[in-house]
Amino acid sequence: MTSVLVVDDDPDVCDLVTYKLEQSGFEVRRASDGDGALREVARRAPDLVLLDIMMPGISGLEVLERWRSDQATAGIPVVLLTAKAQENDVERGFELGADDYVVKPFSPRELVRRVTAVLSRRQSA
Amino acid sequence: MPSFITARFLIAAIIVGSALAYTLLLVTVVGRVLRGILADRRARAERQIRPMVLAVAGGDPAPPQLISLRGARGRATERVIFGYLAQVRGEAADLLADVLQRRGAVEAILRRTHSSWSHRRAAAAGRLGLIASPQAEHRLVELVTGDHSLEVRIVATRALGKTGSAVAGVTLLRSLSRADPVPEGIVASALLELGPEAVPALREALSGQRAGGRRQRTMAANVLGLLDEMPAWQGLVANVTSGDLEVRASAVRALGRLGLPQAAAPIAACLRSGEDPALRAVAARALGRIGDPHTAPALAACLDDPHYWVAHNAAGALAALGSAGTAELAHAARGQGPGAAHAREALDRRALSRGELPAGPAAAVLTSGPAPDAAGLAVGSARGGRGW
Amino acid sequence: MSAVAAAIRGFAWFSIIYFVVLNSAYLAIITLAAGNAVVSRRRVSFAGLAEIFHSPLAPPISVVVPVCNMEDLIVGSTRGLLSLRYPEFEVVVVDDGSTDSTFARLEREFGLVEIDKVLRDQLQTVGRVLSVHAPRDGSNLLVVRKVSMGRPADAVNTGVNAAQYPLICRIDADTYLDSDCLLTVAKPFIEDPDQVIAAGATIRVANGCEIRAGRVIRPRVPGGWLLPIQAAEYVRAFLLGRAGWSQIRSMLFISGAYAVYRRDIYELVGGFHLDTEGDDLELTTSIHHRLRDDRRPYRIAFVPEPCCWTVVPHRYRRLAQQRARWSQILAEAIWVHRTMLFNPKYGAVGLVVLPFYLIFELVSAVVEILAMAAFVVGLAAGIIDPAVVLLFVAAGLGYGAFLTIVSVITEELTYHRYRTWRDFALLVYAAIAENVGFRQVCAWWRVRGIIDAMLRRKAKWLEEPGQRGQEGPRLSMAAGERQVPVP
Repeated sequence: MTSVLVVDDDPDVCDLVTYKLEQSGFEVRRASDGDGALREVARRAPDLVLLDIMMPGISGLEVLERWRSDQATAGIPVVLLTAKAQENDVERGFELGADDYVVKPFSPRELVRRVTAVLSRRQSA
Repeated sequence: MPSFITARFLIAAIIVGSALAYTLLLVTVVGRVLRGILADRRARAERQIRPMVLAVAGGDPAPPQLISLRGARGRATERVIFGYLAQVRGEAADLLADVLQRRGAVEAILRRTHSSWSHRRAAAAGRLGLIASPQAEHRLVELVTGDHSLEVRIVATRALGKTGSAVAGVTLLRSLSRADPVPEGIVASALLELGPEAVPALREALSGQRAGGRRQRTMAANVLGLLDEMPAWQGLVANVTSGDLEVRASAVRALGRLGLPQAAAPIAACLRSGEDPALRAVAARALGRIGDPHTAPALAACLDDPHYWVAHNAAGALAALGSAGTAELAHAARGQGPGAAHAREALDRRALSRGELPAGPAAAVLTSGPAPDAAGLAVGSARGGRGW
Repeated sequence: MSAVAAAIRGFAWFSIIYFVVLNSAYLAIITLAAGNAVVSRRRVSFAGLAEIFHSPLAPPISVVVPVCNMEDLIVGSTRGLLSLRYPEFEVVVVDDGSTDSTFARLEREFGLVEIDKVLRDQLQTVGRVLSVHAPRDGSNLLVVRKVSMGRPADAVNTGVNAAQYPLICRIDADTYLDSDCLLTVAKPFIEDPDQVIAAGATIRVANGCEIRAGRVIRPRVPGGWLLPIQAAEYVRAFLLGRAGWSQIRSMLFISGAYAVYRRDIYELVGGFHLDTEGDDLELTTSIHHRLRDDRRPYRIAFVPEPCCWTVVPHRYRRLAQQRARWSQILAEAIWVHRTMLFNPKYGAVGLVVLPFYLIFELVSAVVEILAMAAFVVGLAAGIIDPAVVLLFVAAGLGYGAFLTIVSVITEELTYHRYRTWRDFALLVYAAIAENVGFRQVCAWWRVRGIIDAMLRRKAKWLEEPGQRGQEGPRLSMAAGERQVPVP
């Protein structure tokens, strides 16, 4: 089963995304901040990460930067979760190597579609 | 004074004071405890409801209990639903709103917007913003236009920004004309949140058939610039050449944000010495953002301007204009007077931003104090080194 | 002899009535504030701080920090300021003639290089600027070195002359800001950019709090005698200051407030006046004065969330100097703006706020000292009944303690920043302890401050007009005055 790591400090968003992804057949792990995300990925690398940008402590972009600079984690596909006003952070995210982004408020169905699309893109590449 | 009167005063004062103090302390302690209990109860109720709401948000049909729950659990249901409504859009949002509709919650909220208590109307208006229905939006438009309480109008304005439709944009702009308007920052935030939906109304207000008054045009120009709405550039340029000062300045600022070279010439025209210094300062800044090297001579002419921000912004703009600008700065920097000082400062800043060492202050003439010269600038730049 | 006795008795009764009126007025204001606080919690709150952080409407801010001989604090403090969460801001440190290694440490830590900088001269400054420095890495810091004139006001005005943004925030190096502090205080400016010209936020006492990396992590009430009393004082003072005053749009920032001003207004009133000790209270009074004279609509906002923590004196002598200075500032401010008193042209500020400050804040120190003297003499000479003395204790001190306890409870019910029972108990204890010795001693220092203010005025009259603007240290303030011991 494909495993996805969901990283967001808002428990509502985490719950929603987890529910939808599990419904669609993914195995889902969660982290509520940057530290947690780094730990989870170090423990067992997921097949894709859904990463919130705006988090207390280490921001999502910093976490992404760390993953991209490490050989072991550089290849993991990352989809960013951003609030509407943060679209300039998205530029930076793409510079750092993110694969796609979803703006909050989001449509759960569309989110799953994006995740599937990114995964299939990666596989065929 | 007879001492028994004093004694009575005293006793009365002590009794009343102590009683009040004890009551208050009691209230506090009880308050803290109650607060804890209430929070726990809320959390427990919500824990049961959450999975059901989650399922709906994920696309499953709503279980019948969600529709029929009343009382404390009913309130918890609505709280949780509104929580999720703030996070989702599209089909999930529709499903959740549908649950609210079937519960009769939407009706109840609409009714509450007619309450005689302003804080109730305000709370209800806030929730309406999360329900994407024409009914809700219609009511919000009414509240923004007609409610006599400023607080309610403020909440309704913010809520309209969330509903995301063109009607909202028109209403928000029109609300600026009121005698007692909602603070413009709030209207601006709401328009920004509407985003592309608001653009037609904004462009119309700026330069359309029914263009608005000063406040509308200023707001429209600002928001179009912040939304990066490049197709609106012609309307903005039309407002640069003449008209109200505030409108012109916001149009110039917006064009600077858009960064289109077509706007360089009309903005450079604003640098003429006859224009208001505030406008010229904004124009200089905008030209720096546009970055057209042909504007360098016009900017260089502003370096010696007696108004600080005009000269300062012109120098900063030249530094962003590539080699043409830097050449002008270097030329000016060799001279004397305030213009040279501004040029040198801009060159230093440019060096720092490129990771180079700045030239540092020239061995200028040292005056004994900040004597303001006729141009109103303190020739206070220091001598080189750190001597005292 | 009986005339003197009658006078003493008369004054005793007068002071009792005075304090009953004073405390009742405070109680009324606190009740207003409490009611207001409860109501505003029900209101739908503004956009979250995350949204403000990304809002393009957030105006850039210049944070001005005057320092003199603060080599221990300066690097940590500056680092803390540079890491504040705000979309666009700069930090302007003004080194006011430090004789220790303050500048050397800054230079080493941030890789400072000297740059050419054109300073505005909108604000009158006296001390000569020696050099301006910026960091090699281009971060938004500016360090201005100038000759000390023994006046922090001069350093702040110099900093504002060097600042580039439309909002100004003045911070002392021994103040800790929460990382969202600028976001919090920027809210009123974002909502209402036209009318809002200044905004203040609540300050609490930093001593005793858990502090890490320049941030207050867990607020705690400090133990001891002087410190918890000051903690309770700050809770009460901000509750009083924001309440009715901000309701009737006539707020005055009290001494030591954390405030952000619109730069154009700051320059309009000439910044901190060099003739006075330079403080937010005098500045806001000037602003009210000038803007009402000009008939400009304006609003001074207050953001009640505590987001700023300051180190208060824990030594007797430093506290004495601080209280005397505050009293002096108040006296000078009222004197300079005396035309506003009871003048309907100045609205509620002139009719209510300033007279209130004069009669109840300033003069209360004098009344308190004289009352103590009267009671002591009266008791000793048998002129005054002991019951009357006890009545004064109840009316003045007991009532005062009661007020403070009400303030503490209001804080408890609204912002609830002090979490534990211990904190609450300490504050209640402090409310009582304040009235048993602390306020009497404070009253003495405040009277000295008033005398200082009066003497200063005399000194100014003696001086020739042409002597203004010369270099050389002015009257009282020693260069080391701004030193504050590390908690």
